[in-house]
Amino acid sequence: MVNSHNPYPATLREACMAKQKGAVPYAGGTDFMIRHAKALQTGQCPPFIFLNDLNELQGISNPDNTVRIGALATMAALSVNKEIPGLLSQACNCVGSPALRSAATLGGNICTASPAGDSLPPLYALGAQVEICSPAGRRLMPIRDFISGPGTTTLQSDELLSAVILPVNEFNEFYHHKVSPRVANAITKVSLAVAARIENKRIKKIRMAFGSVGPTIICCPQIEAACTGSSLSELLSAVPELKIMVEKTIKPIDDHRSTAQYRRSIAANLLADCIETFGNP
Amino acid sequence: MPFSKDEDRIDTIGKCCGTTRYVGDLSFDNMLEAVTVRSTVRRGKIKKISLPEMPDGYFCVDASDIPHQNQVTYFQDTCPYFAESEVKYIAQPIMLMVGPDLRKVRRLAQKVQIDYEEIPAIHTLDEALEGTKPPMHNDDNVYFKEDFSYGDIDGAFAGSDEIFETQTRTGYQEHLYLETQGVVAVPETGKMTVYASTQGPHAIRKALGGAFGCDEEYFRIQQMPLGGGFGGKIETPFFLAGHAAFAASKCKQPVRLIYSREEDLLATTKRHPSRIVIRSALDAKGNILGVDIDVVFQAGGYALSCRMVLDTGLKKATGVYHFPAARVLGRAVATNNPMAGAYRGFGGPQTFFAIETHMNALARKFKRDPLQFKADYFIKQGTDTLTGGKYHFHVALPETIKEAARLADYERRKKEQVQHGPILRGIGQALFSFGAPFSLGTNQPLPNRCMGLLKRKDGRVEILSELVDMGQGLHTALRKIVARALKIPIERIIYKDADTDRVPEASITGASMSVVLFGRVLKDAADKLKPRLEEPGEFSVLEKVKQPDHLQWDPVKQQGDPFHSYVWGTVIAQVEVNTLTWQVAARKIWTALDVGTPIDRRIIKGQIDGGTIQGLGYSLLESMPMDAMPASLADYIIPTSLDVPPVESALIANPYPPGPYGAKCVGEPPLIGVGPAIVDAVANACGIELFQLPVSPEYLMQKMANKS
Amino acid sequence: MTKLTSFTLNGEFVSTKSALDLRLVDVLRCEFNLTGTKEGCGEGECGACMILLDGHPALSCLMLLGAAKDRDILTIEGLRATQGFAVLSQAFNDAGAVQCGFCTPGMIMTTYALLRDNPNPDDGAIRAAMAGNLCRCTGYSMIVEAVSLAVQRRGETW
Repeated sequence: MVNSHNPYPATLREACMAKQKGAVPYAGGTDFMIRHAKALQTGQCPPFIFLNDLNELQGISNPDNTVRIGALATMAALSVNKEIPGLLSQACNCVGSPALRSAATLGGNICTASPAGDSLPPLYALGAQVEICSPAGRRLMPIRDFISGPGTTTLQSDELLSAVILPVNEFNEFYHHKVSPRVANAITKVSLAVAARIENKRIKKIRMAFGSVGPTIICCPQIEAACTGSSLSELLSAVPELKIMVEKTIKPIDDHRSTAQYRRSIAANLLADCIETFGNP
Repeated sequence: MPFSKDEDRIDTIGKCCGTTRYVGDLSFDNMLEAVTVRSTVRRGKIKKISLPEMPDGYFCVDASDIPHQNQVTYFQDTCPYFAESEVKYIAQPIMLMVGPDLRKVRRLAQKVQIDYEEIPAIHTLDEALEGTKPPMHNDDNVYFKEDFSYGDIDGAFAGSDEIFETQTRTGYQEHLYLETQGVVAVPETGKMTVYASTQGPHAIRKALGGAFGCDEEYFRIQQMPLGGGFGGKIETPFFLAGHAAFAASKCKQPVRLIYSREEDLLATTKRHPSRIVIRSALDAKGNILGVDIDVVFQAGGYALSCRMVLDTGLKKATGVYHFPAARVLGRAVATNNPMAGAYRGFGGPQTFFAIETHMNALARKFKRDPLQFKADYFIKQGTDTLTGGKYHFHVALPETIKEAARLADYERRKKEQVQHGPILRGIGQALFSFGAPFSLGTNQPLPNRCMGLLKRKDGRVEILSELVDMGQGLHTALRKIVARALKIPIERIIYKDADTDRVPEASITGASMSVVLFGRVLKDAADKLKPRLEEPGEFSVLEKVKQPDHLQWDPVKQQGDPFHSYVWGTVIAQVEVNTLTWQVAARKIWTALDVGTPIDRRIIKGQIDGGTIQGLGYSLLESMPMDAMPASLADYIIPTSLDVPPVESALIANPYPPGPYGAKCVGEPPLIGVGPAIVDAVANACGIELFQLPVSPEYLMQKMANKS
Repeated sequence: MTKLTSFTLNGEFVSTKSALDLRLVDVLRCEFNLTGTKEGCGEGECGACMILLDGHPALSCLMLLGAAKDRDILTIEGLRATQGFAVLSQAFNDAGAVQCGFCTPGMIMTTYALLRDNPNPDDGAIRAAMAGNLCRCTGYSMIVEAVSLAVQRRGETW
């Protein structure tokens, strides 16, 4: 290990500077340990910084009609915290096993930027913004712009993700379904998160995001537009067309975990299930 | 019943406390760590190996360091410890890197450069038989071929009105013992001790003698507690023991070799994938006139035990039935894949899946109740075996059916079938038998194989046996048998992990023979010791291994009684199918099993529960490509506590006279019927026939799409 | 430059000079000889390496030593002196929950924490808590039964 820096930065600023010099951030460690497993086994781990002492990255608060989630909030904490929208809680509770959830952090799940990242579809659907800090200051950006590809983000070398900001009260109906090879502790084959504002049985606003069916989380602006303004009964009768739209929007592949055909078909089924759930509460 | 009380297992407390020392927990002064350098290609010739600069105290160990022969002599077919000129599968061992610092050893291993001239690889059993790639074994890629038949099979087909054919396929299954493979080899003065996680200590000692070209007594194998075996610690440990011993011999220091989970997944043996075609000749009324079964097992880069696994599977291929005529042909074929080998069930899970799925499909085709349909062909006491022997003892199959049906409330639950809506529901069943152990060509005592009892000065009696407790509770079961025969409390019976310097050779622990055969040998020894129990001093009574007199087996003609005893069983399973995702959830599984006299009901329940859930994993989850292994537990999915349904089981008392107090076996049978029962239940729910394990959602979705 | 990493291990304050990039499971097993913590997969999938970190089940194979600084770590060796362990191990014995035993220390760590936080878990809660502890021998039912037995017998133990 060639840590020329303090592995336990005392301030966010110090952490950003260390990261700029090549240190890899370590938060919950659950992704870090897998990603660098080979390097760790051979004692060739890149230099790293432990973020856990940084108070700026902790905590869940409610400024200005939003929820602000510190990047170090764990999946376990998010699963049970009443301030957290249920859509996100439910998804965080689907991550790995209990012990994994008490280590894995939201910031880590976002920065790993896996299309199978379980917190991501709800964050996309809820319209989350990420707060990014650097020695120069802080900036906000929508999560969908932050994640740029499988495993890649727009984070600059001197930047750290410090928090996630969710609007609240924008939606009143939610749907989440994760399909994985076994009941618990498994990587997602396909998932769907939907947030909707439904008034008088009519869709005022809807946002949906699919996981594990493309290089990144798949957003569906065309399907959202098609749904917006419709009554629930109109939506129910439009399910066949909507399913076709889903199949055209997503970009699944064959891999060792599943097939493109399965993912395509099940993703469409999930949207149909969502609409039926909304329509027949 | 002779054994009314469940005994506490003496291994439990140490395992709870974490004080039980598995091989990976051992450490010795000056111990070196070893890492295996493996092939990265499926098939090819090794052109050149470039080694990194070796620091002081670090060694490279390869085939040139093997004192006598680069061949695991346990196996009849060629099988080198280290690849020399060619590699036949990914992760085949080529050399070891050895040294004091594990991280440094891994770095050196990483730096070894191997250039290959690749040869087109054979990926699947189909490719092996098609012959489109350069053959890797003889001209036809067939390691081993065998056939059995009785009756006029050609006449049956010639006179049939209809032929019904099914083709079933099963995939790899990894044992996934939680403790990965490991050994430590320690050179001592005039001796070498190998501490090993193995199911066969004496077999390893013999193999090391063969590789070193020396008296096998030079080696002492100390079996360490196994963190699970399931058949997976029979073949692979030969390689580890050899590798570590070659290294220890070269470096003159203790050498520890522990596989990572990734290595264990990639490089160790698995259950053989299979393709089985069954054709039934039917008359106009739908009666079966004859059955023709073509079995292909996919072996890997080397044959290993494929002869025995295939042979055993074939002898069980006609299931619990005796047809007017039958023919069974089997082939084990060579592919450039991970090696397949022994695994709980030993060929039976594949062939029983095939025959039960065939029979259940036939019953559905004729709209008959499957249990009634199948009953027309049941084996009974006195019926001939496939190999011309006899079922000598009572066949308790009907009792297991009745008991399983009672447990499951089968008639009522059949009516819970749901074939429409978001959740489909169905019930299925499978019948099975399990013959074990294999018969030998002689009824004479085997001169070099025995079990013993050591009467110690303190009055305690030690069982001298190389048979291994890999978690199944064998030590407790055998202690109970000896305690009962000696009429002394079980606390006075000692059973230690095997040390080849102290205990005689008996057998590898496997094939479900430990209680039924070796329990009997120990009981006979105890009967001899009983009158001498009060004699002072320390002395031992040895009893040679001998099979029961009722067996007639001609190993050359492969005719006679193939197995000593038969366990009979019925599995019923209820499943639900989620039509949103095509995921199948088993809701409950019921098993009724005739294990003869139960020695310890709590241990037997552990075997039934565990075997059933391992079978459930095989049926629904444990999927991998026919031609590759996942390298991570994130991708090889076994059931978690949330994936398993309740398992309810009952035992049928059908004592087997030659067994100890009438006991038969229990280790392997509970897994056998689960696959076909689950598939039958899914078929019942979905209204289609399924012919593949596992029933993945991807497979089921495709089948349902074809239906509509 | 020698850096000391200090933490509480089984109730005692300890320090080590080992490199921060060692995995905690290796440090526990090799440096502190606490071999009751097992490695089954090295990738956080099997739970054989389960410890309690500040009281909560944690995967010691998915954690660097450096992340253990100032934390409170309990391994099976520390737990086995407690009354709670006595109740659990007796229940594991009586229910026949131990076969090969390789998953057992990790199972006990997990169930100890469960029963501390939830004195009366039902079957579903027990299964959910141990979803990250794989067992290949038992099929889980006898382990769940053991935990239920411990629930009945625990009294005011912990």
